[in-house]
Amino acid sequence: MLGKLLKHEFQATGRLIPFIFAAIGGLLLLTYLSTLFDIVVFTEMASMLLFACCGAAVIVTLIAVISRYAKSMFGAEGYLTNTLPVSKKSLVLSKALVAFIWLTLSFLVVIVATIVFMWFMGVFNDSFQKGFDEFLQLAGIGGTSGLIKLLIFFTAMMLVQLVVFITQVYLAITINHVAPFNKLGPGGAFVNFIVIYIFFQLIDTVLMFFVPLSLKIGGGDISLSTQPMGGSIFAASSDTMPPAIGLGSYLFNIIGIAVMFWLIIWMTKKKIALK
Amino acid sequence: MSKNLLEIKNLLKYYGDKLAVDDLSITVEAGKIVGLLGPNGCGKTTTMKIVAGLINDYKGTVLIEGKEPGVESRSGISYLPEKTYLSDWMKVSYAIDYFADFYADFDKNKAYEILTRFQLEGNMKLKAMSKGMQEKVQLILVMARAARLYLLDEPLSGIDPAARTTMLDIVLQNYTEGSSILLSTHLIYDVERIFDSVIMMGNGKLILSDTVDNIRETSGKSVDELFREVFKC
Repeated sequence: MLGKLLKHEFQATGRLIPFIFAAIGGLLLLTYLSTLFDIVVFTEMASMLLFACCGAAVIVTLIAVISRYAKSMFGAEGYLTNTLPVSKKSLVLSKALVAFIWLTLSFLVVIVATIVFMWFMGVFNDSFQKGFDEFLQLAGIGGTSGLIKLLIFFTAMMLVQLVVFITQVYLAITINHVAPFNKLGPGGAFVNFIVIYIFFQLIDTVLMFFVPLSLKIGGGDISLSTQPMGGSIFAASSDTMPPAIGLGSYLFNIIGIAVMFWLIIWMTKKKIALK
Repeated sequence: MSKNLLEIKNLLKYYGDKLAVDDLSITVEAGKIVGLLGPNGCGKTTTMKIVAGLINDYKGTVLIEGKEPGVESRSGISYLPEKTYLSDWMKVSYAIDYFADFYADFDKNKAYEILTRFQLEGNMKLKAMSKGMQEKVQLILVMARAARLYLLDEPLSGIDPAARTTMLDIVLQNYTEGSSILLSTHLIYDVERIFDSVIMMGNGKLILSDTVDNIRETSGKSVDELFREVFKC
């Protein structure tokens, strides 16, 4: 059933988002042609439109997936969704997966579009390469191997953050439909989100600084360490303790996702009274 | 095994401080068409929503074929809410495919047959339809299933009087033998002829539960007349 839910979820959410991606592609082509024929006015206009479109892609995707969850679970469409012979876990999971895929895609499209645009503009020249190499040396990342490790780490961290964000939004919306919070109106979900977000950020920060598990950057490589991030920041100099990125919050985020997901399922199963 | 398809015992449901369903105990036998009657706000819709699995924070016992509302019970219940639950962007054909995907007992051919009777087409967008037409589509989707229990919440409220007879015929011709229908309405005159028995509710409480034949015999009145007498303002 999860496969069928995913299929219909993609159909419901995918009516607008692909068109924005296509528009970004079209504008990139226009930018390329305008640079090829050296028409400065066109290049400027296409560039501005391209970046507006990139911003719109993320915002529209965000609005589409958030409103889809609220409407299909707790709006009039909820009468259909919640009477399907599928478990609440599958329902919420299908929506979260589709939201994750669309949001990842939109970020990916924006990143790729920016890189391609920079390439069209001739940004990737020798001086860029030189500056980049200097930055890697200065940061202690070293060569390609260190850079790849760092990219993998940051990509994984971003993806986990994205799942955390989706789960936080879903939890905020779900709480807003449970008594007595359902008296707060649509603004209540926003307030719930802020509270959940601040709570998460506080614990995140504390764990990131003080849990003795981190990613140590230095000596031309990146490696796991039992050194807490706080130690490297408050050390007298970077020579005595090289910079590190705390992994405590990473682990907390993964546990947090599981707890929030369980809460959402439990509330949709036991506490929701559809209006 | 009990021949009751639906059993509700001591059902209580509050909305905040307001008591919506007050110690309701009813049963619906297999193969019967039961009218759930009462004025607006008497708890009919809430009761149906609880049986359909849309309201979970209730007290009491609700059993559908011996099981509490859940995934299993939902596969055997065909529920028509009073709201329009299909999205505007959907085409009728998409809604049919959607039902066919999720309900093993959904008959696509039957759905298209009934659509044709109502001069509706698969490629019509719900956005372009009137509320009455959308309600017809929903009823067609619900009745094209071979469910064990049909929950029809005010199925005639948005339908013009001329189409009501046709709609009732569709209900009668398409519900599966041995299954039951619980139909809530306040338009009793139009539907009285199809009921085997009725359950009357007032202020969330059970007022009367009897067969239509018994009501006529003992009171000498039709269900509509009795309803008007009981709920006279």
